[in-house]
Amino acid sequence: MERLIDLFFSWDALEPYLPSLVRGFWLTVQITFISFFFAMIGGIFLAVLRQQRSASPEPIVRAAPAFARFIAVVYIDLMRGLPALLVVLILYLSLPFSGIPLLEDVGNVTVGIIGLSLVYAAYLAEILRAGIESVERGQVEAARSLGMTSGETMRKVVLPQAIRRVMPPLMNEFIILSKDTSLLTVISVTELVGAARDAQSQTFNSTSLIAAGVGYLIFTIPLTRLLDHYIERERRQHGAGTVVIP
Amino acid sequence: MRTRFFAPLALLAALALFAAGCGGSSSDTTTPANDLGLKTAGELLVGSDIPYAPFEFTDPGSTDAKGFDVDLVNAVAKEMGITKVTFQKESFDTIFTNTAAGRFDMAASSITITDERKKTVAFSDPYFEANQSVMVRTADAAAAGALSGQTITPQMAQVALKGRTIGVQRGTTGADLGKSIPDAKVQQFQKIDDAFNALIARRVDVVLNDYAISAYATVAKPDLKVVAKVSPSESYGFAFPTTNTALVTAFNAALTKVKASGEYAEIYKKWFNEEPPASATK
Repeated sequence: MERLIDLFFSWDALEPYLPSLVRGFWLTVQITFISFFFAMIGGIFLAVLRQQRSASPEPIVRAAPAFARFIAVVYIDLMRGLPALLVVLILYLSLPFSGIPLLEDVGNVTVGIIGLSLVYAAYLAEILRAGIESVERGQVEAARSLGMTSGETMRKVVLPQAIRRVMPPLMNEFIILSKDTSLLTVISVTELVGAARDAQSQTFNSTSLIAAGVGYLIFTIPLTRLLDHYIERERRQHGAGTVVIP
Repeated sequence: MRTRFFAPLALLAALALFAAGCGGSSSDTTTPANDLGLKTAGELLVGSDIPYAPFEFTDPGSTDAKGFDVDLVNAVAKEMGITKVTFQKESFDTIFTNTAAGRFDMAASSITITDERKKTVAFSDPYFEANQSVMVRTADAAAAGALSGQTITPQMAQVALKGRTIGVQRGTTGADLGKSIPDAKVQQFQKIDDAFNALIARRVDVVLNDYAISAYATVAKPDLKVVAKVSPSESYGFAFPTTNTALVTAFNAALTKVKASGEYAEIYKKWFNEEPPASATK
């Protein structure tokens, strides 16, 4: 018991490594926000792409939206089916040989952000699709009859309502993403878990791992509280059933 | 030690571990003294960070460990009358804590004996003389200039590699060397092969790692080249829990016999195609 406390709860072993753990924490927070931002953009794009329909009787005119749907479905199937770890590793080792000017020289943190954004765009697209489909058909018809184009209808009428309804599952994905940033240790990104393992490998003391755990909780628990608060508020204002509970 | 701050967490963790650990604690009391305190009498469980060729690795498609460490531990175990030796995969950065915790009887993983590590584990007598080495891409070898083809001191490495991006394996003496280099960006990998791949992919400029392992890798990866050895040399030792001094004593006695009988030299020649240095068989 004495040994256990010494190995996992020793302030003396932790203290010299606190600055590097704080740097790791900050990097984790940054990667989470930036990746989620790009994943949202990609997710909205994919969800909209997947909603493309044409009422035209002409097969030629109907082919374009059908192709757009096909692309979105293939992408989502692929990225949802692959472990984020694998996507990140493949990008990390292959990009320098890609010959693509900007992507050739990106550092490991950027590779991590690209990988996580690509994978999470697929997850977010499916959540957003559910949100888009939950907006009543009548809203679209009303917007169109007011003279809005289909693009305007999506931007100004459907998406704002869709996103609000799926806020809880979106925030859920955000929390999962914040923890998946730890996968980037394989490409030697010194985020929170990486910093903790560095400390552990030098001191042979595991307190840094506990500290890393505390770091994640400091980040995620307020978010889960916020999520509960949001769900409660939506319920009060709009009644049950208007917001998706993860 | 200041533990007060963590006390409630410690209590929770202790409860969880207590619940999980109730089943397995009886073996210590029933083990006879002549079994050297092995986890299973007559069997040696060895922790090892596999792959780290040619010291410990597996052939494609196989799960059987092979290599210099594996052959040597098998020879010593045979000398000790141990019939079964099992190698268990273990990450290098946690191998010391897990050896100390008694998760396996010993660790054989090209481990350099250092004073820092001696605080956590007990070491056998040295069994291999090793150097750190500087590895670059073959295409850049010419540009390595001052480093090329010689044995350099850590101070020379610190000057020559200043500000470079350096790949190392986490928890190794190579990582320690990397961190001593001013302004260098040290990227730490879980497996040394990840560092080699990162070097090929131009993610890092150099890899600092034990010479024998890096040199062996260049045979399979002609894109990579070892340009310098770093002196002074280090010694590899097998690691044991500090509590099991009987096992360390018996192991050292058997290791001395294996060295004296010429078996050590045979194993050495098998893996490195050369006679061991005179210092190694003493």
